[in-house]
Amino acid sequence: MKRRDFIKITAGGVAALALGSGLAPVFRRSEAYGAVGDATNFFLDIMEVEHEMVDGKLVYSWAYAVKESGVQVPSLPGPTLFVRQGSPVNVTLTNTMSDRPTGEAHGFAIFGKNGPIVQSAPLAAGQSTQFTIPGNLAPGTYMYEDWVNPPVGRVLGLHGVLVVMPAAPAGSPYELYPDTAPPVPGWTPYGILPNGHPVRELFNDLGQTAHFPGEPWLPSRQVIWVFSEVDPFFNELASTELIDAGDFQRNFLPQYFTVNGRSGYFSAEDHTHDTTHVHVDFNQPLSYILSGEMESALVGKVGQPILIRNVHVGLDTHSPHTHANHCYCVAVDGEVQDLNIDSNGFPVNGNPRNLGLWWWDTWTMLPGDRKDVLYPMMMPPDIPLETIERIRAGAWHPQLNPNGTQEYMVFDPNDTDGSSIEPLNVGHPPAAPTEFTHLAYPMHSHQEISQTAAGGNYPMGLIIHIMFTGLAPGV
Amino acid sequence: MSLPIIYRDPKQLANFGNHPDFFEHMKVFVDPPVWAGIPTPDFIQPDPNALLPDGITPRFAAANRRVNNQNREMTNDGVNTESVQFWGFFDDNEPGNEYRFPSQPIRLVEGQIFHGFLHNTSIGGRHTIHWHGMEPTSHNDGVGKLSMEVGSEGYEYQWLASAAGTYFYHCHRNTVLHFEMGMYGMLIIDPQNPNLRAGRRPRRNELVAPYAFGGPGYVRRGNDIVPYDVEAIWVSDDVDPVWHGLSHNQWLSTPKTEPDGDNDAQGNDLGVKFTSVNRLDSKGLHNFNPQYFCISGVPHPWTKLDVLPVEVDENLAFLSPIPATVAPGQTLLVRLLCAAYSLNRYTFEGLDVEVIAMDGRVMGQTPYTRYSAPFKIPAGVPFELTAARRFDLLIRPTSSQVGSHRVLVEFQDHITKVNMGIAETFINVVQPARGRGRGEGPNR
Repeated sequence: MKRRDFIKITAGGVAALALGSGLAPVFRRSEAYGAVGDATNFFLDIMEVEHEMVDGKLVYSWAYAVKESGVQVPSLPGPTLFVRQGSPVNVTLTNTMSDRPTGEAHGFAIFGKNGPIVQSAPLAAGQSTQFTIPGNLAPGTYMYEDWVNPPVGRVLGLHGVLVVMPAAPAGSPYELYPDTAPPVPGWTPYGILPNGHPVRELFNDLGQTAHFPGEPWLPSRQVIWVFSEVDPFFNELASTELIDAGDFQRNFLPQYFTVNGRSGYFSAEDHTHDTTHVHVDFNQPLSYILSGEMESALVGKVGQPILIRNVHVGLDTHSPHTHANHCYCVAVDGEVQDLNIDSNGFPVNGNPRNLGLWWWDTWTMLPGDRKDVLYPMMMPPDIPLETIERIRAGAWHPQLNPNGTQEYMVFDPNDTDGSSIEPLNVGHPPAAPTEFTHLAYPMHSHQEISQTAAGGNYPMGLIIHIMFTGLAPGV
Repeated sequence: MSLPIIYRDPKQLANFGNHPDFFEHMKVFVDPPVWAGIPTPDFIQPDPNALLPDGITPRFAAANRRVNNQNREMTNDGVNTESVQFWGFFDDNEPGNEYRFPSQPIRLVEGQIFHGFLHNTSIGGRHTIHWHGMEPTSHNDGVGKLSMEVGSEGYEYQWLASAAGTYFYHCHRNTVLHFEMGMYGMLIIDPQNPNLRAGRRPRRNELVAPYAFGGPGYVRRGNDIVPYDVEAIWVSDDVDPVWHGLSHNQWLSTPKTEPDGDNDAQGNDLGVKFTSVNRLDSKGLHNFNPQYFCISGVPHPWTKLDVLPVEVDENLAFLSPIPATVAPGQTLLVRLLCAAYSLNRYTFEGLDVEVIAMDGRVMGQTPYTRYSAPFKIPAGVPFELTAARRFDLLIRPTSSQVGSHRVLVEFQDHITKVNMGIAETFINVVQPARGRGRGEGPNR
C-alpha cells in the first residue's frame, strides 16, 4: 500500500501520531503486537470512526480507543484487554464524540450471569468518568460493551473483550509465565482446577498422553474471535439520528459479517506471523491488543493446541464450524465446564455447565454468547494411515511464502523422502497440481448467510483459515 | 467531517499488499481454480479382498455422485402447494434415486477407506463435496479456494471413516446458495456389530454394518456398542422459494483478469470486482425469508402423516414417512441434523431423550471424549441447534408411554429470533401385535 495515501486520508490527531514513525498507528507495532497498559491509569475513549468493509465501503461506526500519550488510537473491536488475575484496573472513560442527537449517551459495562460486574456512568458527548475493573474476576473471557441504549452501541462498534489470565501461585517456580511448558501441574487457562476436573484432565493430557502427542497448551497459544455484523443502513442513520433500540432489533438486516472487525480474505488470512501466538506479557497487570494487530487464523504444527475465545457481540445467529479438527468446549459464558451427571442422566443442580466437555465441529453463538473452545491441532483424524506415513516421511514439506514469514505444508506426490523440495509459488492455493496442496482449512459460520458481503460476494464474510505447518516433535 | 478509518486489514496490506501475487491470491479466494483430471494425490488403490482387522468389514467403500436438479412440491398448510426447484447429488448407477431431497444418503462402516467420486458437473455447474465432520487432507476436504473445484474429469475424494457417527456431505461452492438449494445428504458411519466374529458366517438375522436406514442396527454409546431397533433421521430445513429461483453463481464476486487501475482508497487493486445488492432486495443472499419448513425434505404439515398423499409421493424425502414408530421396551435412535439457517428449537414431548453424541463424536469414549458423558434432556424441555450441528439421541419408551408423542421444531429468524414456522412429527409408541415386536431387533 502507499503509506502516503494512508496518512493523507487519516484525520486529525491520529495522523499526527503517524508522523514520527512514518507508519499509521494501527500497525506501528508490527513485530510486538501487545502493548503494556497502565493498570492504575488506563484511558479509554469513545469516538466516531469510519469502518472499512471488505468491499472497500466506508461505514460510519463508533469505537473504543486507547489513549496513548494523550493520542487516541481507535480499535474495532475495542482493545482486547489482558488482565492478570488479582490486578484491578482503573479506567478513565471519556466520550469524545461530536455533539450527538439530544439525550444520547454512551458507556461501558461488563455483564456477568447475575448482572453488571462493572458499569460506568452514562456519558454524553464531552463527559468523562472513572471506574475500576475489579481484580477478583475469575480467569476467563468477558465481553465489554456500551450498556446505554442496548444493543445499539454494542453492535455499532462499542464492544471488546477482556481476558483474565490466571496468576500462578506466588513463590512457585512458575510465578512468571515462561510460555515453554505448563506453569504448574494442574494449571489451565482458568487457574489450577481440582484433581479429576475434566478441564484439568484435558489440559493435562495435551502433549502428555498417547492420544495427544506433541506439545502442551501454552498460554500464548490463544486467539480471540469476536463475531459481529454490520447493517450499513443503521450505521448511516446513527451519524445523524438517535436510534431506537426496538426499531433497530426488529429491522436489523446485516450485509457484512465480521470476525475481529474484518471479513472474507482479510479475516481469513494472516500472512505476517508464524505459529498462533498472542504477543502479550501475561506477567503485566494489564496488556492490550488493538484490532489492527489481532491475529485470527489458527496456525501451528500438528500437536500445538490453540485456545479459541469466541465472543458474539452482534445480533445474528452464528454456527462456527472448524474443519480438520473438532473443538472441545471448555467454558461457556465465563463459566468452566464440569462433569457432574446424576444417576438418572441429568446434570447436577440442573446446571448445563455440569454436562462435560462436548467435542464439537460446529457450535452455536447467539448474541452475547461467550464460548471458549480448545482446537487440539491434532493430525486430522480421517487422513488414512498410508498418507500419514507419507507425511512423516517428508512428502509434505513446510514451505515459506515469498515474504519468508508464513509456513505452509505442501504435498509433493512424487516425493517419497522429502528430497525434492521446490520453492513454492506462494501456493495459495498451489499454482499447479505438482504443488498440490498445503494443509489448510477454513473455519466459517455454517449459518451461511454470514459468508456474504453486500448481499453476495461469497466467501467474503465470517471466515478464518487454519493452517498446519509441520509436525511438532513426537507427533 | 473526516473521521479516522479502521481499515479492513492494514497490517496485511502493509505486509503483503505490495506483493505481485496479492492480486492472484484474491482472484483465487473468490474464484477457485478448476482442475481437470487431477488424481487424488495420496490415492490408495482399493483392494477388493482387503478386510478391516475385524475380519468381516471390507476395507474399502465407494460412492459416485452426480449433480441434478428437479422441482418438488412445497406446502405450508397441506393444501396449497408451490413447485420449487431443488438441486442435489445422486448416484447415476442407481437410476430413480435422483429425486430425493435431501440428496441420496451414504452409509459406511467405521474404519473403512472411502472413495467418493464426484463427476464433472459441466454446464454452468462447478461444485465440490465437503464431507462435513470428516477431517481429511485439505485436497479431500472439498473447499475450493483451499484446493480446487472439480473439473471435467471429476475427482475422487478419499478419506478414512475413523469415527462412527452422524455426518453429512454438501457442496462447498457458493455454499450459502448451494446448501439452501438442497445440495446435501446424510453420511452415516456405523460401528460393526460387536457380536460378529472373524471366520464365522453371520447367522440369519444377525446384522452386518452398514445397517439399513430405519434400523435395526448398532450405535456407539460411551465405550460400548449398543443395539437399537428403530432409527429416525430427522433433518430440519427451511426453504426460501425466492432463493430457489437464483442462478448457480448468483451474486458471486468476479475476479479481474488483469489489474485495471480500479483500486481502493489505499491504492490496492484487489483483483476482485464486488457486487452490491440492495439491502431490501429479496434475492440478496443476506435476505433470507423461508416459507416452507421441512423435516428430512418433507414440508410441514405432511411431516405428520404416516402415509403421504399420492400426489406428493414422487416428491419424496430419502426416508419417509417422517413419524417414527417404536414399541415399549425397544430403543429408538434419532439422528438430528439442523440444515436450516434459522435458529432451530426442538421439543420432544412426553419422552426423555438421551444425548449420546454430538457432531459425530460419542460422549464418554476413551480416550478422546472421556471428558464428557451421555446425558438426558427431560421430556418437554426444548433445546436449540444451529446450522450443521448434529445430535444423536436414544429414546427407550416404557409401556406406560404408549401413545403418540409430538416432536416440535420451531424455526426462529436468525436475527430477530421471531418464530417463522414450525414442523411437527410424532414418535408413536405402539404395543406390537401379539407374536411380533420383541425378538425382531438385534440380540433380543
